[in-house]
Amino acid sequence: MANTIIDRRKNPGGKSSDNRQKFIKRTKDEIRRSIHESLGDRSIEGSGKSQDIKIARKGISEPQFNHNPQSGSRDIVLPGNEDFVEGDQLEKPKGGGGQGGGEGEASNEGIGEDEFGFVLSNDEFVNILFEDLELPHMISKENKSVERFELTRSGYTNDGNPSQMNLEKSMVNSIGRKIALKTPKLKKIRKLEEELKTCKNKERKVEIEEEIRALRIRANAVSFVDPVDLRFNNFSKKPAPISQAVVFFIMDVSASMSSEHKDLAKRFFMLLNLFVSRKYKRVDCIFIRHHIQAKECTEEDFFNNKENGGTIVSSAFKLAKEIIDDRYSPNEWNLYVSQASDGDNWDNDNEDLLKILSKDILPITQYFSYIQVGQKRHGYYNSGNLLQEYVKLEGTHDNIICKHIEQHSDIYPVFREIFKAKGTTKK
Amino acid sequence: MSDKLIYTGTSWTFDKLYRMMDACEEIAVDDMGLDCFPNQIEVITTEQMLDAYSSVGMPLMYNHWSFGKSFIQNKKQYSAGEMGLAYELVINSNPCINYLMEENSMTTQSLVIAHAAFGHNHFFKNNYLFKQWTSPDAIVDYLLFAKRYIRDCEEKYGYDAVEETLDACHAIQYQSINKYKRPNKISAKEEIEQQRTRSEYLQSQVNDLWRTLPKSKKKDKKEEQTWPTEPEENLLYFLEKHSPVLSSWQRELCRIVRRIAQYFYPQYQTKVMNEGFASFTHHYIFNKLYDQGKVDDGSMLEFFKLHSAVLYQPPFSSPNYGGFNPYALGFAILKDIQRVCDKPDQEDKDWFPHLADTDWRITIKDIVANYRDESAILQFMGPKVMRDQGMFNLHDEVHYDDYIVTSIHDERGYKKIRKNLSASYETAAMIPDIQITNADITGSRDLTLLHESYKGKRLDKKTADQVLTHVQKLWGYKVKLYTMHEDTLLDVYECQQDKNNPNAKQITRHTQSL
Repeated sequence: MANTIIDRRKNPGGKSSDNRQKFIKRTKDEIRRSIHESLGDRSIEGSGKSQDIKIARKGISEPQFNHNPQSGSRDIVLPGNEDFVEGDQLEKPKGGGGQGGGEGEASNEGIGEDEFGFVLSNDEFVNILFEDLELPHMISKENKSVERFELTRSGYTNDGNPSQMNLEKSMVNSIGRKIALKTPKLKKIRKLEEELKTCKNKERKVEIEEEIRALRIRANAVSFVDPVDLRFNNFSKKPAPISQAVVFFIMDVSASMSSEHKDLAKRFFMLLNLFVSRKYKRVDCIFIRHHIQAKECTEEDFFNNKENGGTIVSSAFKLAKEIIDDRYSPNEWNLYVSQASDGDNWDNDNEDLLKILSKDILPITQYFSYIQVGQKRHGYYNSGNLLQEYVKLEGTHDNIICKHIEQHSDIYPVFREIFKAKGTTKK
Repeated sequence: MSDKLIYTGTSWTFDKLYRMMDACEEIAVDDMGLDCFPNQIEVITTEQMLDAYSSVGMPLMYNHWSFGKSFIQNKKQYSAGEMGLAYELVINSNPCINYLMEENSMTTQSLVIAHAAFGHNHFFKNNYLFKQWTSPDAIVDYLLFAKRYIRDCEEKYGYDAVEETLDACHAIQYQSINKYKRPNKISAKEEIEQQRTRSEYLQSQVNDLWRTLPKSKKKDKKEEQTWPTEPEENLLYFLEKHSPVLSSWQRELCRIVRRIAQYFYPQYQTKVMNEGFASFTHHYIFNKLYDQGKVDDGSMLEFFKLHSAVLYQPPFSSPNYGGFNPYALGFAILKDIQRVCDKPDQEDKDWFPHLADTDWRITIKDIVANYRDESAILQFMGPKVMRDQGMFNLHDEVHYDDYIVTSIHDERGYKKIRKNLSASYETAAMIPDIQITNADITGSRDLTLLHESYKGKRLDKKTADQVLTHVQKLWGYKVKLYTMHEDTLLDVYECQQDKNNPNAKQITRHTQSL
């Protein structure tokens, strides 16, 4: 019997990853709901880690025909009798269920819990979080500054870098060439040599030796691999279309923004920041904070620094306009603006603000989103009236969207609504 | 003495494994006279074992979300320490594939080799159920074919459509087994060829069928005939051949699922005897190795510790009790038979006159070859086994408040206990017996299923309804299920065609596009 032992430990793992992805795909709605629920309480910053997920078992049951244990009569044979004798009666355990351990007919679900818990990796988590979201209206703009190429396979060439040699093609050529040149097969020579050993006839012996010699010469004359056989994988550079974009984060940090308001706004922006950095490789982010004065700052300052003061919203857009004129020509860049505030503005500024927005900002931006944070009260907004002003713009411009966020659990749904994939001119 | 030792200590090497294989083989073949497939031992990691667990123990399997689910579940339980992994996994194939875990000690590896590579291996090759129902030469090729075929279908017809069909097929896989009819053995190549001709034939037939459908069937109504004339026990077979709505690739999926279910059918009918015989084999081989001086005292102690852990039978009153341990029960029965053959006492001669003083090697191999759990327990479980295990029988009627102890391990009870224990290993006791009795193809196209109740057992309503929805999807029209117990109708389930269900429509649409 031929027994073999094989070491399989080095084999690539992850045999089940396909099945895992299928499972996640099937339960995506449930997972999304679960993520949504958990988003409220956890900090977005923490999303560099894997994520515990609980989903309802409903959608993932695998029904089979099963016997109902509460029906019919049955005889159970059990081991371990100590003092029972024939005719003894034993009270049934109350509460149906377990039946004293009964037959080993447990379902393959283990314990019949309603929830199925498992761990999502960070990648899986973020992918589901931002699935079918995009920066809307993105178009390929002329891009002279950055040349980008992609290497694509394009057939084979006769010469090239040894590391790119295609062994299969080369060997096929080698074999073909040898057949074409009628190269004697080694097998044939060996056969003759065998014959030579057993051959008694002297004449025949000489004949065979001669034949072997001739064959060897011919065999040696043809090289095993010839330079003409070699084939190399060929790659060619193709210019890749690029769509570059810049996203302006504009946040009100004035005194009217309570710490609660700031928290909501920051959470929203963190989500946006994560979304942009995960989904797009080539997107710039500009962070602007403002009170009566606007200031461009780093990502870290934007999320961490504290400042106070009055509010002049237009200052932020003036600064944005300057930055656009200076660095981001609308001809080359897709421009996105996202603003968050409590809606408070210095009354006299509103007119100015609307003018800047409708004249300077909205015509050149792909998409403008405004979120107002804070509690609604009796249908009126607790604090400022910026939202009411912006809503007017929604009528005249189709690239502005205004939403209201009252509490943590609003953030993700609102975010989804703002960046829902619209299947627009994305290239 | 010490040159004879195959190994000392706990760590294993490939060299030691090879020597152990040879030593075991010598005893298994020359002494016990076992007849095995060649072995292919594969050393794998924990992660790979988890992979194998979730693809029902097969080396390769088509992809489906449910395997992903069980992988996630197993992995979670394993990493939380709630579940240990098996030391080995063995596949009924030729060559016989044995997976060994890398973290096993040398003694564990040796036990596993004796247990699986020779015990299970002999059982697979010789037991009549395995011989009849499985083709170990073809299974790996067939799984490869199935995996590729399903992947191609996913590309052609979409993931969702394939998943939906597979879900439906999985729901009735245990009712899709031929219990009596024996399938022809064909190779994987013939299989692929057959599949092609089948689908070509179906393609050519379908259009003609639609065109030649008679306009009216009123005349035929007089003869109320049921069709199929004999009830069909293999649900997926029937749906594959006769469903009016499935397209040819879906029929092939039905076939794949039922063929794989059929492959596993012998496994759950021979759990006790298979594990029992493998345990018997490792026990015998290890004792021999010790007698030959090939393993040392320390290894032997470790062996006994492992052996008794695997073969532990908790009593019914223990919180760990989960039914009879198949290893322990099978081992006890076979060990007892060996004793009856070698040194029978009067009781044994009364119970097993035909076995007493025979050669145990021949007798046990005969049991292994020709019986399954139910019949082996009924024929060969002796009174000593029942006494040793303290077996007793409880009778349970649903409407009684108490269980009644009807028999214990005494003269009067032995035969009854043996009969009842044997009956609990009948397939009908474990898996509801459901057959297709009527398909009204000339009229309403209703499909009627019959559940023959086992001892008045009824179906679990919730899962039965869910499964029927799946059957309905495969059949396309109304499906009814009756539970009958000795001419009494216990339950009726029905599943209507759901007009608003987009899934139902989807299946129908595939047909029309043919």
